[in-house]
Amino acid sequence: MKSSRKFAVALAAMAIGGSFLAAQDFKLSPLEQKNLEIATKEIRDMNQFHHFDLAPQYIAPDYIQHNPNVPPGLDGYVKYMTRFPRDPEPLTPGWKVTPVVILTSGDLVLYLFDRTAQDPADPSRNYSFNSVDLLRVENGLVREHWDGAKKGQLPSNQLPRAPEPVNPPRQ
Amino acid sequence: MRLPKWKKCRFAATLALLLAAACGPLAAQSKTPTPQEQANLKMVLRWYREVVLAGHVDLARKYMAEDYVDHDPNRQPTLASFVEHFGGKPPRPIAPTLSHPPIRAYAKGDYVVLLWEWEDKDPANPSAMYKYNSFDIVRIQNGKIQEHWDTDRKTPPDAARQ
Repeated sequence: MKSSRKFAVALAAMAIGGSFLAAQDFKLSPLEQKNLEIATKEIRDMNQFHHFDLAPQYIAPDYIQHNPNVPPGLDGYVKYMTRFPRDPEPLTPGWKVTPVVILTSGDLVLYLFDRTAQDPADPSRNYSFNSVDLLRVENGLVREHWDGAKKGQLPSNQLPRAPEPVNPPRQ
Repeated sequence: MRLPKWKKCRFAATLALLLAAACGPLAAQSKTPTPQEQANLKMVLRWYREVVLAGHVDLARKYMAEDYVDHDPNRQPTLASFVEHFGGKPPRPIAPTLSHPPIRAYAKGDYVVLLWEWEDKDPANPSAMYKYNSFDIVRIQNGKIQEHWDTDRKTPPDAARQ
């Protein structure tokens, strides 16, 4: 192959590879990257690894809470999340429960999770469903939170589970 | 001095690569949605209004991939199950706008997010109402809705529907 042709092929390969990465990678602005880091402190370091001592550093005092089971504000969040004693666990570089996808746009950061719980139609089996957390970040603090919780429901990660095996996972 | 053809080619290619590299960070700095993201959001809102709300499942394949995957726990994950669920009643006139629009809606990459706010009877105090939220998230592939997630839980078979 002539060197000019080799170069063109290499360029094409880089372009295709780069565009695939871009589609999976979500190019974030510096502000979006910062908002993602702050939101992840709550959803991962606090909610998954129980480092609630971090809460005042990353959550606004007047945190707006749309989960109908959680009281408002930074205080409400911490009180609710520490209502059962849970020691902080050592942070790993990754997630304890990895989100299916994280979607950051401007001041909004969304986390989609896969969940399983006992099937109400067949308590000997489990079924798959999803939970979502959406945070709004402003000036370095989490200001607002939405999820899919209904009043009186158990949190999606605290539902009873049937003994294994789990139903075959969906595609 | 005239350059040989292959040197001109390589120069042009290098220039193009440098320009693309320079544009990358500029695009990344902008937090406004890309034209594709804007189009995806418009498409999903149209799909929701025409197919989901008005029940025009004859339009489902215009918007949805044949191998669409649905993660909603209350139906099978297939396009056929989606059509059966939303085609259960005769189609209604398509409203020109959403009468109950999402309170947040955005597109990012191949994904579109819809956040809804609803009211329901307060189980602790049935004479009062309370607000809660639900999400619909879809993934677009080759211009069609390929995958869908929501925050619904499996409805117990004998629970009273509210």
